[in-house]
Order: sequence, then structure tokens, then C-alpha cells
Amino acid sequence: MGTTRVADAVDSGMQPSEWRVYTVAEITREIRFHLEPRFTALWIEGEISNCKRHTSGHLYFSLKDAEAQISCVMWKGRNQGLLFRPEDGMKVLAFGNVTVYERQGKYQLDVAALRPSGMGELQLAFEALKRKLADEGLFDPDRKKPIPAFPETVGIVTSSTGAALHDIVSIASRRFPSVQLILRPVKVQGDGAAEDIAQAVREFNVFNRVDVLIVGRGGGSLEDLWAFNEEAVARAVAASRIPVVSAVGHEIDFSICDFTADLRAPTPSAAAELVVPDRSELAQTLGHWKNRLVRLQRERIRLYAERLRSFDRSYAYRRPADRIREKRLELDDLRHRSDLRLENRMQAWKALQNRFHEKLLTLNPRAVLARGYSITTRLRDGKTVTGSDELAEGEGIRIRFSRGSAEGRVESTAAE
Amino acid sequence: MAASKSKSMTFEEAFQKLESIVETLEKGECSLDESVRLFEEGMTLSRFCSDKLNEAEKRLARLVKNEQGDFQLEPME
Repeated sequence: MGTTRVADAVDSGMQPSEWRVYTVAEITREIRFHLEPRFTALWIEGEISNCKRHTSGHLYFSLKDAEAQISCVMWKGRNQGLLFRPEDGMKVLAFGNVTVYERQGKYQLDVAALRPSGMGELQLAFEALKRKLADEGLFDPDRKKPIPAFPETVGIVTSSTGAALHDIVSIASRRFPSVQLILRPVKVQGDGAAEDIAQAVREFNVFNRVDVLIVGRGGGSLEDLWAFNEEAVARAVAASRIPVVSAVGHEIDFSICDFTADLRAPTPSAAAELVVPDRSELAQTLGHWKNRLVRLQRERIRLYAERLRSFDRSYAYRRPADRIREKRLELDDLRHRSDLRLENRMQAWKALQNRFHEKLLTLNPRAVLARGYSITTRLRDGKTVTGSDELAEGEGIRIRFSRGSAEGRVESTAAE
Repeated sequence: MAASKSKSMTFEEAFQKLESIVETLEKGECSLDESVRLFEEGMTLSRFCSDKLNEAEKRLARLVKNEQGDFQLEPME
């Protein structure tokens, strides 16, 4: 319509005085008043280009598609809560009002919310942080510390008012009442929650008197659980020297904290069951071992006793005794025999001696002399003369008789 | 000696030691003297563990930082 009217007016040689004259500000304001109420609370989908973050913190970019583009501004106060970093080329959904910037005569979209299109904003942030920390190796299995099998002290990082604490405490005290539970209460959602949780994990590491940590909260929306997806928590958990069991939300909820923790429990209750051993089960195991110990020892003693008895019965074991017995018999026999021999020998000696005696008796020269024989010896050398050839004529001789002796000279000798 | 040593032992250490003693005895490779020693140690450990199991119930405590920045435990509930 306007085009025709302007063309007609120009053709008819119109003058400004016949028309209402606007100031720039007036017309701009007029445009603004018409435009802005028409375009409120819109979702616009497009690709980010020319993205600039001003030093003031405001975020400026354009949304474009193949045919058009619209300037966008996201004020500092709004973009601070963004969980992802808008970048050129990123497809997004922007929510906001069309506003007119009078000073520059431009319209723009005043963005109140921005999320990646296709994927939810939180999911995108989640995926981005997950990728980043995975690249740093914070999820590596060899980083995982073993969870102590029998912790005596358990640290808990959760809200002091939540269901998670109640669940953990009741399950832990049912399973093992003498396990000490220490709570460091934290804010689990909202502003500052992530930093509070991270700080609590660090404080437990300074305190250094718990065997294991349970970090978590009960179920909630993705936004409620968000603190556990923040880098501060993920890093504090990864840096903890104390083993950490992560227990965030329900079974289906995975958090970044789960990935950097040493163990993921599907729920806080499950964490308590994973961390705190069951006393009655342990007592049973213990009883079982004790019985085995006693039974084994009894069995062993029985076995040894049995072996002793079998040694006692065995031929090998009896042999020494047998041999001793044998030897004793042998010895007796030997002694007996030697006794006999000795006796025999004595008798033999006696007989021999008698014979010697007899012989001696017969050899006694006196006995011979008594029978009338005599012994002749040479005077010169006292040699007993047994032949006439031992004597010379005139040789001095002595003759011994049984009684007395005589001396004389050889008159003559004869050969036989 | 074994008894005094188990005082500073954690439940976990005692429990694991006991298990390995039972295993060693089950293999039956040790001498009679050794087995008697192991048996006695095992019984001491078993007593220690069951004492630990029967310890008094502990209440929930809260970790708080005092003005000096030191940690202390406050009873809860």
C-alpha cells in the first residue's frame, strides 16, 4: 500500500509542509512501539555467526540461515548461566523478544535463553565436559583406586536434609553399626553447589581420617543433578586421595562425577551397600573360617597321630627293634660261644701244661742221671760232650753223676 | 607377640591374614610346628575380628571446621 501512496505523492509534487514531519527518534520509537509487542516470546532457530563476547560480558552474535540473518544480543546476566560456549557455526534455538535499538536504528533479538538445537543444552555441556576430561585421561581405569573392603570410617558429602543421607545412614547402620559415618553437609543444587561439593571433597582429604567417601544426592531433574556434572566436582573427585564412590540420582542418571569417581553406585542406598560390608555376613564368614581353622587343625593332629600309629606298625619302623633283638641274641650266642671256647682253651692249656709237665719231668737231667746216666763236659770250655770226636787224648773232662761229679783225663778215644 | 601386633591392625588386614592362614593350612604344605603357630595366630585374628564386629554402634558425626581452621567432629541427630 505504502509504495503506491509514496509513488503517487512524489508524482503529484507533494511538499513537506503538507505532511507530518517526524524526528528520527519519533519514528524510531514509533517503529519500536509497533514492532516490539508483535514479536515477544519467540523461539528462533538458526546458526550462530559473528559471535563476540564483549569485555562487558554481553554476548553478541547473529542468527542466520540460508536466506537471512538477525542480530542477537544476550546480556551478561543471562549468558552467565549458559552451560555451553556458543560458537560460530553452532545450530541453536534462541528464545527472546525482538527489540529495537534506537541509537543505531536496528532491531535485534534480545536472547533470554539459548540452547543447542538437536541436543539439549545440558546434554551438550555434559558431552563437552565428558569429552574434555576423558581426553585428559581422568576416566582411565588405571586411575581408579580400590574401594576398601572393610572401611571403619566413611565420609559422606551430601545435603544434611536430603533423602540420600537418610538412606545411607540407615543402610550403613543396619549393615555394620560400628562403622563411623561422618557427614560434611553441602548444598547439592543451585548456585555454589558445585563449589561446595568440591570443597567438601578437598576438606575430607585434608582431614584424612576416612577410608572412603560417598559423594552424591537423591534423584531429581537433570537441572537438579547438575552440580555433579560440573568440572569443579569432577576434578575434586578425580584428585581425591581417598577413594570416592559417586551416588547421584537414580540408576538411569549418569553424572560426570560418576566417571571421575573410583566407583559409581546407581543410588545413594546402593553406595551404602557397596561401601559398608554386611556385619552378619562377615560374622558368618569369620565363623566359617574359624571352624575351618579348628577342623583343619584337628584333622591335621588326627592325621599325624594316625601316621605315628602306622609307623609303629610298619616293618620299617619295627626293624631297628628287631635288629636290636637279633643282635642281642647274636651277642648272647657269641658270648656263650666265647665262654665255651675259653673253657675249652683253658682245658687245652691245662692238658698242654700237663704234657709239658710230663715232658719236663722226663727231660729233667737229674731224672736221667738217677737212672745211671752221666754228663761229660770238657774242662776247657764246659761244653757237654756228646761224641768221642769232641775230645782229644789227655783232655781234661768232668763227669756229672746223679750225685756228685769226678774229673779226669782222656786215656784214649774210639770212633764208635 | 601376634596379639600385640594385631592391636594396630585394621579389620581388613586381620581378615585378609586370617583368610590366607586358612588357605595355607588347607594346602597342608607347612610343618606341624608351623601349622600350630599358624593355627594360634589364626585364632587370635579370628578373636580380633569378631571383637571388631561386635564393637559398639557409632553415631553419625558432622565434619566441621573451627575458627582455627582445624577439623572437628560434632555429633548429629
